[in-house]
Amino acid sequence: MFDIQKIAKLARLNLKPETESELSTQVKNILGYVEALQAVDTSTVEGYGLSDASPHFRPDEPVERGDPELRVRISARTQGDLFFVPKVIGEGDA
Amino acid sequence: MTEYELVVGIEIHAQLLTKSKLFCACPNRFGDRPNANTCPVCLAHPGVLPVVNRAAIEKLVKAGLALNCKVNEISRFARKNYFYPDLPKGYQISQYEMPVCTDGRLDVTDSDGKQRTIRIRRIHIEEDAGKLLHEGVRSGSLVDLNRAGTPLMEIVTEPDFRSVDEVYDFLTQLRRILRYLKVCDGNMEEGSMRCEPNISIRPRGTEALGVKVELKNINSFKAARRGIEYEVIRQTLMLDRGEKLRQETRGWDENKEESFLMRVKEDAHDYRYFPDPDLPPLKLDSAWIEEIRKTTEELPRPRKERIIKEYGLNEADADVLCSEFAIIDYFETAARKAGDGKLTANWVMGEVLRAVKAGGTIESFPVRPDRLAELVKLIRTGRISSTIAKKVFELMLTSPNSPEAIVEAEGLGIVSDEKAIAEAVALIISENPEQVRQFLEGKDKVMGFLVGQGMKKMKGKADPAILNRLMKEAVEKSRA
Repeated sequence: MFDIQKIAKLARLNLKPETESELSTQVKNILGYVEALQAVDTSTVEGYGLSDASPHFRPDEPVERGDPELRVRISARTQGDLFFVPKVIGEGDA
Repeated sequence: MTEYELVVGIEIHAQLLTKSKLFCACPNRFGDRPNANTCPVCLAHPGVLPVVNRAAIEKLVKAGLALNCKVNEISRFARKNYFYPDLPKGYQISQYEMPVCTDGRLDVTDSDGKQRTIRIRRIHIEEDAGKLLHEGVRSGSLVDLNRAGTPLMEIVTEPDFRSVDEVYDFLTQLRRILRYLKVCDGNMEEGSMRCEPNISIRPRGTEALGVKVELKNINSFKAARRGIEYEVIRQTLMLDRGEKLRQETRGWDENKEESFLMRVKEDAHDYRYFPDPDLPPLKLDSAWIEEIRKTTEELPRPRKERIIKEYGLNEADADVLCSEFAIIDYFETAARKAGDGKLTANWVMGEVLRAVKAGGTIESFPVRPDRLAELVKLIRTGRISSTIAKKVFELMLTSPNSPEAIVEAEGLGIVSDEKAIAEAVALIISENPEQVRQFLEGKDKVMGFLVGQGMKKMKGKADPAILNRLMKEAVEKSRA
């Protein structure tokens, strides 16, 4: 089964204890739907298999994007050409 | 006291040298104005879709083939989920269960010359994250997403290393291979090649793997060596004291030369990998793989063996020339034109590399291989002496002219005019009566000094054979 607090932590959600059981039930129901879907016999249905995948590639041709200001300014907070976010020090990628 | 054996596996991230990003057409270029190379795709705006850059896959396959991997005709992209401001989508597109390449190998040499095979578990493709800047900002962090979405390959080895020297040799060879293939520039200091060793120790003679520590922040070959050595000592001391090792991630502090705890396994990320529904499976048909195989550049080892045979070089010289693809390319172009491999090799390893070392790169070196070849030809045909050639070479560094033209303009050609040489010889003999006497008394070595003086007088331009002959004749004559 799942641990609702762990999922909340991974999703960066601050879960109030009083909503815990309600959310747990909801998530359980969602997972129930998926389980119900898995129970359907699809052996006669032609599926989306790996073998019929067709490659779709882009050529390696760079496109200059121009002034970053247009793209940066939609952010809630900026500093010069940079996005400004609350202080984070530590690790990102593993 | 128990004797321990080192067990290391490494993960290497290498930035692929493509012109554009992995899933969008933004330039893959560094040093630009922050966020200049961004677009809705790499900024993760709603509704965008990634499209794979063909060149990135090609470069990865090239590296995979060079590392003797199996290239899988079907592989799959997966989402690796985590929250961090340098990752706009909240997930990184990577590969998980089905990487492009699997089951490779590379032979390494230990310090005692023993060869061992290191198995490569997998090579997969993924996108890089952006950069966070903290300096000069007190209340927050700044984000530059120019690097977000640029292509990376991750190479994962099996835990097959048993010594630090093997790791060092592997990294050196790998870097060289990636540079030869023009797949990655291999610059660890600048982060275009990053290495993370997984280090454990176990009592020698046992099979079970010990508790491993993953080491991060390694940004040079030297740091990899020092970091692993440090971990071996730290882990050995702990086990000897009867302490238990924890599976943890540690960082390497280059200045303090010690590792520090970053996180223990219980805090390990839960990435919830799943296949990326935005991207179909990556299908590589065998004809394309074959085409890449055929167009793959000659690799360092076979190239070294070939140039030893083709140009009659020794192993040590071949090692120097093959250390960089740019050097060996330079050498071969020059040697073919000059028609003398050994002499060209001496010039490349001597004057050329010395001048390059003083500043610049061989790619931007002002004396291009064809001009060096002309210079070597002038020496080979006896037009100039090697002393004069060094002078001509110096002039070539600042002049675009051919060595031939420089020799003409500066009057540096060899003088074979016997009259002019005889005059110089007569002067030397009259200036050095003591040395002449010594020679006549049987000190043969003095002849070298006298010839040297004569050459100096002729500013290095005298035909050595004529000078030698005339000097001997003149000295013998003075006997009478």
